[in-house]
Amino acid sequence: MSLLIDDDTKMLRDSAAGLFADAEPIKALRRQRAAQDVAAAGLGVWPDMVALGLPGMLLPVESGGAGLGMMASVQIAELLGRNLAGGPFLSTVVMGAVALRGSGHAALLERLAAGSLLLGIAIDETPRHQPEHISSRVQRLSGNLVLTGRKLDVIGGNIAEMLIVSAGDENGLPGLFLVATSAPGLEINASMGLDTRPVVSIDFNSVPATPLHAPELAGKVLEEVLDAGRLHLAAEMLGVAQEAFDRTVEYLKVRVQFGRPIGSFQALQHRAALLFGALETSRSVVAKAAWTWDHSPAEAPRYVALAKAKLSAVARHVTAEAVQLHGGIGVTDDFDLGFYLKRAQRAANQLGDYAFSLERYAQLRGL
Amino acid sequence: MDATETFRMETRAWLEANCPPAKRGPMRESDHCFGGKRWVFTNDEQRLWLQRMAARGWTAPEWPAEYGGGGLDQAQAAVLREEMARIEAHAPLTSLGIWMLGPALLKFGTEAQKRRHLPPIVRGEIRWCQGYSEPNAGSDLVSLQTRAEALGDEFVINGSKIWTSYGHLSDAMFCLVRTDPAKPRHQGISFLLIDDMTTSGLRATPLRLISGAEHFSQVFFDNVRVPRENLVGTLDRGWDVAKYLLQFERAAIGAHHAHAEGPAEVAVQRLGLEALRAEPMLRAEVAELDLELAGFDALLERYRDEAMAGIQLGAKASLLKYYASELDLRRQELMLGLLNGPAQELSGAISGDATNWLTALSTRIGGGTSEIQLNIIAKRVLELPDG
Repeated sequence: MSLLIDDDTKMLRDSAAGLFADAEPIKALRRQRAAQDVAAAGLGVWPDMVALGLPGMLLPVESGGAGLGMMASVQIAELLGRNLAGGPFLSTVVMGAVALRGSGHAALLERLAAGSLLLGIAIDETPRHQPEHISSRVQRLSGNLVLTGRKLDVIGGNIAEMLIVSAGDENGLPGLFLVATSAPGLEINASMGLDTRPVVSIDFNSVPATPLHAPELAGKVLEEVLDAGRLHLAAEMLGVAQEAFDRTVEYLKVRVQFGRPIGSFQALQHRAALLFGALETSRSVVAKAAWTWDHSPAEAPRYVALAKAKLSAVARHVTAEAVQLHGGIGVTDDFDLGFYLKRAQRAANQLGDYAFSLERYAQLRGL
Repeated sequence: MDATETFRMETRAWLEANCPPAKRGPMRESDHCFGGKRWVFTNDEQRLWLQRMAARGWTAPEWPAEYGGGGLDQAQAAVLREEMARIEAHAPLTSLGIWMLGPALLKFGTEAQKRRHLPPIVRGEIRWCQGYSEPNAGSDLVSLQTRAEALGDEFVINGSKIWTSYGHLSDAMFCLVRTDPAKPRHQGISFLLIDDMTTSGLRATPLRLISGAEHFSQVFFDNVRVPRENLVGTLDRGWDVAKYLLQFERAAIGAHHAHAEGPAEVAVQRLGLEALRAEPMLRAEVAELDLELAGFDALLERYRDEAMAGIQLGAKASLLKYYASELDLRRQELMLGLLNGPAQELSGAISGDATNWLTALSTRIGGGTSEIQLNIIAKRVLELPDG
């Protein structure tokens, strides 16, 4: 076993790194923010992801996918974080694929793999992440299943063709349902979040819905979909924090005050060393969670909780420290660091913040 | 079956047949075998286990066979570690000779030094201690003043070493001495072997710690004479040897705490699940520390994988020393604080808790303080400028 990536994954990572950087995502974020273009913000670097063949990376080869594991997909998530590149990676490539891959919707899987199907993930109904709190209901109305409810923070919801929605089924058991965004009775509200990514809420008023799985499987798939999302948010935060840190270390070497580079002051050296340690640990827990998912899935939830808790804490801390170590320039909008800070904040809270993830870790450790 | 798997099967079978049952399971203080001329084996199994492992060179698995080592490659050594861990086999020998002096001799020693000193270390026949720190050279190790003057075929040593682990129980000492006081601090230091601690003019006295333990000693040198052939590496370039070795020490300290029981298990075992859940703040504290330790385990695992892939740990060893000792103190504080009454006695009902806590305080200091480790990471890993 090894927490290191193999050569094929390295090649994939290197090609993705080049394309994402060339797309100049931070310039794009500034344009999208100025124009309040929520749709463009939602799409991000999607054309590049399609060009790289990423949409089906986690789908089986029979469905037109690449059959790769999480060890590969977290590398992509980390790069998205490093470059602050957005797009429907989490919603479609990760959570959508995990939700759909056992569902038998062959045509949809093929379109997903080809990059021609965008999915949205609608789970939360409360301002804090409480996935077990589901008021949305599916009922049978003149022979057809329809869904009614309200979902907050729908991931990828403003650009999706189909939504994957958690709701109570006819018997009140939780399940995942497929809903077309073009269906009648559906109202989408999208605004711009503090990280220049969409914040989407959706009202469902008797909207036609299709169950994705047999009721006895639905609970387990829902957990998997959530954990896949959490793992990749953790990986993205690793990239966000690592990039903010690397820029900070460079700055400490060149910024001169009191006649010497500020990186020569021990107070700042120790802060930098501790941030380095936090990042080295973070990189290890993300790798451990991804490896465990691929090779020892029964243990994966515990390591995913560990990774999400660790990164939710570390990414916010590292980016805030990066601002502090830069001094005044760190709090100016012309300087890019603020975008890293804001993305860390949003991702830290999504699908479970530090407290939520620590509680989940505690339960999975038998506490 | 590939060669590694064949080796695994053979190793597993040999360990099953040769590791005495008394040398398996969690290792207590008294299970450690330090070896050496004055060593009294705790029991027959301890002696037998050392002899059997030493005969294969497996007390030093990766040293060349010609010097008594196991001659294993990295992959085989990893298999041996895994297979020993599988049956919870005790380390046959706890030895600074193996951790520290051996690597120094293998890299810097002459052929004659290797042939003379390495085989007895492998067999556990000699106990070496490390003479680095001095009363006025702690964190600032490079300011050390113990003087070794070259006179004819000998060095004559005067001065004092302190915090010498088990100095009063050891047979021999490798040490850093100043051979040229006129040179700048980092130069003018040499790495010297004192292969007999009973040499005239040498005296070692134990230091009693807040934990009650007497692991450390102060060593005094009054015209102690050793032959010139006891110099390791180049004269006045001993700091290169020391720097090289400090990484081994830090990595060893870092790896030491890797497989202790998690705070979650210990807390549930001592308080019961119901009582723990009745105190949500305490439960959160336990969970948080358990999570931090699991993170450290993942870091150790990744660094081990990197080492297997040929990526040098280098100065990142400081990170392991920092986390191992800082997290251990947090662990010991929390564990000791779980219960009042007898558990709070120095040799309490839950034996060793108070001692472990007090020992953790010294682990943060020895082998370079936590603050020194942060300096090293800042300067050597992050390459931040000097002041």
